[in-house]
Amino acid sequence: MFFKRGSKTEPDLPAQAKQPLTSGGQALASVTVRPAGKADPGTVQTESVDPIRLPPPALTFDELRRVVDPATLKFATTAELEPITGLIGQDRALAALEFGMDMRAHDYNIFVLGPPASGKRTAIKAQLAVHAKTERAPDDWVYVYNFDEPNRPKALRLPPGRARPFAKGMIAALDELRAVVPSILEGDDYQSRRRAIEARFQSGQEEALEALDTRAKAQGIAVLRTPQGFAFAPMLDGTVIKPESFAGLPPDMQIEKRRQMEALERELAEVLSQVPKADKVRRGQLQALNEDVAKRAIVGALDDLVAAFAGLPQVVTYIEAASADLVHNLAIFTTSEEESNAPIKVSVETARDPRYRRYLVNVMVAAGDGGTPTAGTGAVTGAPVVEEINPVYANLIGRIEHVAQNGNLVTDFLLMKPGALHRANGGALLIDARKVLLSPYAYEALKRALKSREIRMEQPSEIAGALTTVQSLDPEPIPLDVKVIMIGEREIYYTLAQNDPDFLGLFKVQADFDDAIVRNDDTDTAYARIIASIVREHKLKALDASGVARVIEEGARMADDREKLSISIGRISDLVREANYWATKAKRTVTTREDVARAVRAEIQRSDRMRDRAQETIDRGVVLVDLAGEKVGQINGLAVLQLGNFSFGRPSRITARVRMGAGRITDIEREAKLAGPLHTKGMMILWGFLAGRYAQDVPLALAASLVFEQSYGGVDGDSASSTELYALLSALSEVPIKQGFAVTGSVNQWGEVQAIGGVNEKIEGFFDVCRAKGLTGEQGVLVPRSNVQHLMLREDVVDAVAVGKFSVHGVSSIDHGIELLTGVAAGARGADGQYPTGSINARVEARLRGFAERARVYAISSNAGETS
Amino acid sequence: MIAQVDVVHVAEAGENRGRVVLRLGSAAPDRFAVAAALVIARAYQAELESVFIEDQQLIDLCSHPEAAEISLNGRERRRLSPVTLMRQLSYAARQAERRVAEMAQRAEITYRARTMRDEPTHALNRVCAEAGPWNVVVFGDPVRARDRPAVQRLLDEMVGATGLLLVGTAVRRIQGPVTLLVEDVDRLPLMLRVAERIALESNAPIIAALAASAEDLTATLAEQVSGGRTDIQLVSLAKSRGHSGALFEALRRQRPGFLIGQAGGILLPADQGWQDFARALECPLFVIR
Repeated sequence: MFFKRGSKTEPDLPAQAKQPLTSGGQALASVTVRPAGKADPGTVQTESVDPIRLPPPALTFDELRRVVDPATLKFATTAELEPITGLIGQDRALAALEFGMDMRAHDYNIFVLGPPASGKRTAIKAQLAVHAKTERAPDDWVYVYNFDEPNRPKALRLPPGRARPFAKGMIAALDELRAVVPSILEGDDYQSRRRAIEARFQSGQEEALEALDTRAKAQGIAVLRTPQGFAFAPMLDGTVIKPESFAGLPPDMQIEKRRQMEALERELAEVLSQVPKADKVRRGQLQALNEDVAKRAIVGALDDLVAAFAGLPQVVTYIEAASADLVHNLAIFTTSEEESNAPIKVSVETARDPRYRRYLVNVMVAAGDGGTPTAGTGAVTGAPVVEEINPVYANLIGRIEHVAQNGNLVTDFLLMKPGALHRANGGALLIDARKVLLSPYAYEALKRALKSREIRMEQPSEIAGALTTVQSLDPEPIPLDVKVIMIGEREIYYTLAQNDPDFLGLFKVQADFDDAIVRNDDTDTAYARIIASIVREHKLKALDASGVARVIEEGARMADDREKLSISIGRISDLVREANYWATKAKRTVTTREDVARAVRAEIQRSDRMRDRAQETIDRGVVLVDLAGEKVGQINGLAVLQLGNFSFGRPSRITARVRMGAGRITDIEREAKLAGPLHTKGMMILWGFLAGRYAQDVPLALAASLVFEQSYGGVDGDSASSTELYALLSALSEVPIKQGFAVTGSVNQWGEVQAIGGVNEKIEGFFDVCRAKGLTGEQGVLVPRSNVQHLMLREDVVDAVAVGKFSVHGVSSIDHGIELLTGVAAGARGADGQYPTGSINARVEARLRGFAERARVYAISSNAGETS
Repeated sequence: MIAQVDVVHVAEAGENRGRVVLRLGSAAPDRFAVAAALVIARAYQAELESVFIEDQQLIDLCSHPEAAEISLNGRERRRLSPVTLMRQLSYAARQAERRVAEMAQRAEITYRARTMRDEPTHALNRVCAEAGPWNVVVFGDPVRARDRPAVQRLLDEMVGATGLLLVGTAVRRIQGPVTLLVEDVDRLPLMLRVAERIALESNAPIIAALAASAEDLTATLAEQVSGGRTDIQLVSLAKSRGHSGALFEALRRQRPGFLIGQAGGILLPADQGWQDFARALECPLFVIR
């Protein structure tokens, strides 16, 4: 259990709190103090305690819920309305967005703060698209093979729309060469010249070996081929002599054979050692031949491409390098071994043939990619607006893929895939802050790219500095000019701003979207148009004016503020779609107020199992809550439980016990370590109030204990601090509190009651408990006066109030509250500095003074006892 | 001599019962030689069996205390012990067999490998005798001019083999027309049937290169070859006969994928050097015995 504290904590004292002695405009001189419209409980004091202030009357039913009159909407159904595509009431954020987009500097990126599902993403995209149309289309980027440094692919910039023609041009040139070069290489001219070279090489070597072989045989020596070389062996009758036979030869003959073999070995070594040199010459001659024969064809095939890209020196330089490399690699145009031996001959497409990979072009980004609008004419216009919905590292920066080859992972420049930054380069990139932060390396990589103003593709393992044996690339970086628009909750923005020194330097523009907009006739109408947009988008039944009015009321409820409307478009959309379901079920052609109300009820019903269980524990007396009668030192507090999207209020009994002591309040929740810091703070404030009001000149010789009865979970927030103070005042004054009331509100050291959160849920929670036991008309809830503006209570609560079965009171001070709860005047100090006799304050002060006196006596007697 | 050996051709004897025997030696097998062996195997739906021959002479050589080996690049002279040699041979055999197995698998040919220690010709004779007489023997490494005596001996003495498939050092294709070098009519039907089988498998045309010993025989040969058929292209090489270099150049211009010739003919003359064959022929040569 916890107490939810609202963010609106400024004191908001109502005007009547400052006006003495008025109730319904009538001045009163004294005393019988009771809540307006309530029966005298018979326990209040009737002494003259002039002057006092009366507590304000209970809130009227129309103060509990701001209802929209369908007639004021001036339409019959949403079908008559023009849908709205943008945002309403977000001028500040939209102005910030526009400013951010117009600022060309690389560090003026935009962080959009705001609640989720508020429709801002769609609206931002629409606004960015309009802005992007006025921008020039960004350049295309391609990666090509680097013939000088193969592991460092070259990045080439081309004017918009030229990358794909360039890539296609290279393939076309290769296709042409695949047809032309084999015919050249099979031509008689080439073949005869090649054979002449081969023959020169082979004949030289072969003839030398042949001669050696002949000479060896003449000497009775065999030349034998071993797996790794050659060996000589003495022969007899054409076969190698076995060792024992050789040993039987005359020693002179053996020596002579050995000498001959040694000489032949030297000669063979000389012949073989010439082979690599001769082979080098052969390769050189073949290369020269290839260049001579094929260069013209290769240059011819690439001529058109050079002409087409003549204005781009980088591209022309690359084509020339490719041309030179092709001349050196003519073999790729001949039939491969696999092709030769394949049972079925299939011609592999050039773009898929591994032999031609290094001459292909990897188009990283081209006009028309990444959201760049392309006009119907094919002309490229506008800057890209890219939204990356999964901004992991690889999707942002790009990735270098690998393929398995012989058990190894290998890669090349064609396996480089662009990331969102490539696609958004020259335009805008939308990403979700939470997703970026949750993805390893992504946020750091994004910042690095923004700071260095370039996209450098690396593998995450390299970034982490991990040792890796996987082959990788070090591609040239691509200059980056992008506007990053990061969308996230406020908590993320402030966390980053506080903890990341780079963040504010890179995201200089914050576009802060409100959770809710101010409610007036204009925004009500705009809200209706948003509903019309939802109806149109989801192809739903139109809503009539009553239905729209009910949705607007629910929008105020979502905003927790009758003066505002939630812009949580997602939730509103859900509500409208669910209402459409119920309208269909009811066989209605339009969705009405009844359908919307049913959708709200059904949504609650689907989620309120826990609420039912909590209610049941109270109904069955497991959790003790008194709803009638009076008790000293006991009061009903109100808690809000949040379970997922659903929150509900629940009463909880708070009790206080007092005695003479050393000036300490025992907060049992805190002692049991069940209290959070805000609750502890509330207790200290409460202590400050007691000391400041009642113990200016005497010690606060009080020992009090306060506890949330039957609370077994944690407690936090200070929304029960006023409740605890009432219990304490009751215990001190010994004036009972009416148990038909429940109280919420925080208190400051001056006794002013301050706003809290979840006021509607708290009231409704207590109402549900009371209704289950039976509404008596004596039951009600005290809420801070400043929370009255937030009231958008359920219709059944409002109805009960309207017929006097339940009440809600806006309370601005502890004095007002205690008077309502006890029916006894709180009392204000008179000119003599004393509280009126019989008043709560007088009783409390007297009790505390009594404690102080007894403490003093006790201290004296104790000291005397010690000294005697 | 050829006449003394009882030769029965695969093409004649059931045709589906043949076997291609791939001779592997110390040198790594040539891929064109293996590919050609596989084409023959597919053409005859035959199995491929490689025989890695551990040359007995090499074993004998290693028994000499002074036995040494000169490395292929000529830079090293090392002691050649029986242990070293056996390790080298074993390694070479495994490597060669693995390579052949890969190619056979791709060609969907049943492949078996065996190793024999013997004198090479004797070893092949033993293998062929086991499953003869319809074996085709393929030399796994390119034949050089200096190999003539060994090849010639094999052609003369081999039992149980119908033909020999050889590649030279200039081999560079197995795709192209199946070319017959027709010198006389004696073995023409056999050669034609072999050519038809290979052509069917290779989806290639057949060219009959007529090289009659006398000018007036060319017309007769042409008539015998075509026999009214139009699917065989006839080319006369009569003028090249007697000039080995000119003959091989004329054949090369046909760009054959396979060349089929007869043993003892003008392609591999028993009494001349084989330099032209070894250096000029760009396709495998199927020698019909």
